[in-house]
Amino acid sequence: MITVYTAKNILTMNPSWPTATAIAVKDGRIVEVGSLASLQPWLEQHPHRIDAQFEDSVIMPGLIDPHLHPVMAAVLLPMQFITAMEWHLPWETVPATVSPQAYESILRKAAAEDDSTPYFTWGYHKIWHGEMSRGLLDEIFGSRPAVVWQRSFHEVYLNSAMMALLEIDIEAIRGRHQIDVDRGHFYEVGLSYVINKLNRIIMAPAWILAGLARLKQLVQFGGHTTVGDMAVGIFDFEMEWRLCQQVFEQPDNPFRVVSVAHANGSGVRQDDLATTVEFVRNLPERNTAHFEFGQRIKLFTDGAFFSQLAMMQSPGYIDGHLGEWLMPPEKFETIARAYWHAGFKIHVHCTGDLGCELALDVLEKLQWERPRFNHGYTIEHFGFSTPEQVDRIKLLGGSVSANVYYLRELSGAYSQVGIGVERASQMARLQSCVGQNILTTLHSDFPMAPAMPLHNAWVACTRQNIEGNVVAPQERLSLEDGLKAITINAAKVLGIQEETGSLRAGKKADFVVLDSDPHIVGVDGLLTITVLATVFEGQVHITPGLS
Amino acid sequence: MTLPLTLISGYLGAGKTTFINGLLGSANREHARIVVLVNDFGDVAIDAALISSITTDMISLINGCACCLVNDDLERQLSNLVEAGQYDQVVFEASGVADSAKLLRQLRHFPGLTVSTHLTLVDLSVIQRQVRDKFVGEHIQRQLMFARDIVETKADLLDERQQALVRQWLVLGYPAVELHTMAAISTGVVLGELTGELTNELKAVTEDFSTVKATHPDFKSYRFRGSQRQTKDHLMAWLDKLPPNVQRVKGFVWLLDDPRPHLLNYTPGCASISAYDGVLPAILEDSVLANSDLVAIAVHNGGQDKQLQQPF
Ligand SMILES: [Zn+2]
Ligand SMILES: [Zn+2]
Repeated sequence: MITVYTAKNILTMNPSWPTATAIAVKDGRIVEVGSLASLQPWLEQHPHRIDAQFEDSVIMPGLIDPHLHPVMAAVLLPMQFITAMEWHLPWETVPATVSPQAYESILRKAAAEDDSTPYFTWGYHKIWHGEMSRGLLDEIFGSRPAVVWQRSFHEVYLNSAMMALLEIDIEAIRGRHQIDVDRGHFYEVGLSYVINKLNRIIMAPAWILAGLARLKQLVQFGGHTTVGDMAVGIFDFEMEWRLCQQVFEQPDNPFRVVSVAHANGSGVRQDDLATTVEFVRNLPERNTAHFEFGQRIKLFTDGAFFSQLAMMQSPGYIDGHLGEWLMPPEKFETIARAYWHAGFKIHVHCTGDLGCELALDVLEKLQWERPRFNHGYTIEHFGFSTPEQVDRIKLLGGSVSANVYYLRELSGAYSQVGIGVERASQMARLQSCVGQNILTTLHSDFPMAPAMPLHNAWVACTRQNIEGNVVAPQERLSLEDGLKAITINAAKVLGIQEETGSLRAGKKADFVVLDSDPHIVGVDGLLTITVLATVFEGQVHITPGLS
Repeated sequence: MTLPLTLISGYLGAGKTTFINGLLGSANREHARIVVLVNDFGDVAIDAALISSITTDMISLINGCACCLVNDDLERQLSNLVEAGQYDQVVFEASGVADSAKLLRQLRHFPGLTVSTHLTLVDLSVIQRQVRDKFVGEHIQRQLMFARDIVETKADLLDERQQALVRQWLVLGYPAVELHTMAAISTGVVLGELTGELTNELKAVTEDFSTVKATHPDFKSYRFRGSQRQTKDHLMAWLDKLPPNVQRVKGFVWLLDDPRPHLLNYTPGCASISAYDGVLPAILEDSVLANSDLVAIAVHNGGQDKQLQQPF
């Protein structure tokens, strides 16, 4: 049976056949894209039905986020979001909370609920929400354990009941570095201490399963039909694989997960490098219908962008601090070499321009040793870079998967406290990449940034930061390139471009259904487009919360 | 009872693993229950035969999450070790790119743990090239800055004249360090005793100055220790009067009129004393004790040495 979906407009993202008004689907795959009239040769010979539920809407290929972290997200998602910026979540729209009074009243409301299980909230920021302390939380929550998690993930506040629940010996830790017991404040190194205690709550299978169930809704809400898990093994490979399988490999799951193992992940790494490569090579044997591994690996150069641990070339950071290598550069090279010679596609987390330089120096050596085409070596995040590095990415055949949201949230702040206006403005140098025909895609790294591809494309096309400034306007993408970055280019970066990422005969029937046409509303309209539904392998999934 | 930890820093190839293997080989005979923490990436290089012995164990740390701190394996493993109480000694092989200052900060305040020794291994044959390396030069420089005891390795790859030149360069550039040869440092020293010695020496400031580095024929070094606060002017005047053969003075001092520790830096014609907010060596960080520690390097020229007065 063929199902024909009609629409006001269909953006195929196939440059040779760019628009259509009807799309015929059989057994989860597209048989033809065109108009009701042009589909007749198929329809005359096969039983079919016309489904007109999207006839006033616009269809695009299902959106793809090639880099997020499901299990990390699952740790966060069961918490109550109270944030300075509005968050659109499928189960609620979290309003912007920008005063200490408003923040406190939300906490009081939560405390008034008849619930004695530990309370967790995420999104607190002193600038907006005022001072936080154990005393205040004790006063609000009484005997109910409570945790306030700071927006950057690097700080928490605990009340006395929570400390008791975690069996924290207050006197034993008094005076420890980056712990203020009286205020219940644990940050940076101090956070490591408390995380290990909190893990029995936030890493418990029930918590993670609840978080993954929420992630499932959130991914659908963003209009995705494919996401990439870009580092299985962050916590524990087998645990992550098992739980994700359990949640995502369900007949009604609205998206597929393409997984890439973390080269040094717990449970990935074996006794020696050769055995590890063999282990990763065999992962595709575990593939199920919507949960798959390929011949891909995730490696890391430099430290976290949000913590200013990116490795920077001269002149470095204004305050003179150094970034961090996540592994010694020679080790990075050794591991990259092993996977390169084994024919893998290598994804390298790089945040600073020195991190990017290392990734490119190593790629250049590997190309000299054993030239490869279509090798899929991808710079992930692509925070800071130089124009000359973009030239090298092109020459060496690399790809770029950018976290453009850094620009939105941090370009203003890092101009002032960080590296200065010139370099901070040029983070996510994307038009330079597209102009050189480098395969370029966008990702969220969720939970680091919201998993909303259309919003991400808006940031890439406007380069407007939260302060309202347009930074390095020369690097803005065109609307068309912004849309490619969240569809077909993302599919190419994950190696699934034969299956999805555009709408053409033979591909999986993966669509997103929008209430308006990006070509009509333009770049500015990307922010307000509503995802009405997704279609995954021919199955319709109406966006939760829409009537 | 706190669990003593020996921290072994140094870049890749400096010989940390060989050093630890040697340590374990001789330590096993003393039946200390030692656990080795390793930050390795790829291959595990600690000698399996040594590890599998009943008195030694190895834990290899996973550095899991790059984007946040939700998974800090070092912290987790350390609390397990302290709680389990089944070992006498931890030997921690830091990753080659670890920030010593940050690590020391985390380790020093860890309940139930004492950093008994911190050794930084340096491959003499490549160190001068390494500190200029495009990717890790600055990290290695900082490791040297925060080193107190350096163990030199691979000196045999250089001839004697080259060795002397590298040692001179190290001592001049990083005068606050003590330089040890692999042969001179015994297992007992690494696993605890070294610190005891240094601590006593520092607390009982009996000598005005002592000649501690007799191994370098062309240079002489003096160490000045005191627990008496001075004014900045007094110290500047002292620097002013130093004889011309003094090439370098560096170290930490406490001032009479300022609650913060200060870094003193001197080369002929250029002296500075500025507030220091980085990590101090443990013995110097207590503002009540106000221990100051300066090292001066001078070209050896006999009689003039006597002109060096004590600053404190
Ligand atoms: Zn990353
Ligand atoms: Zn990531």
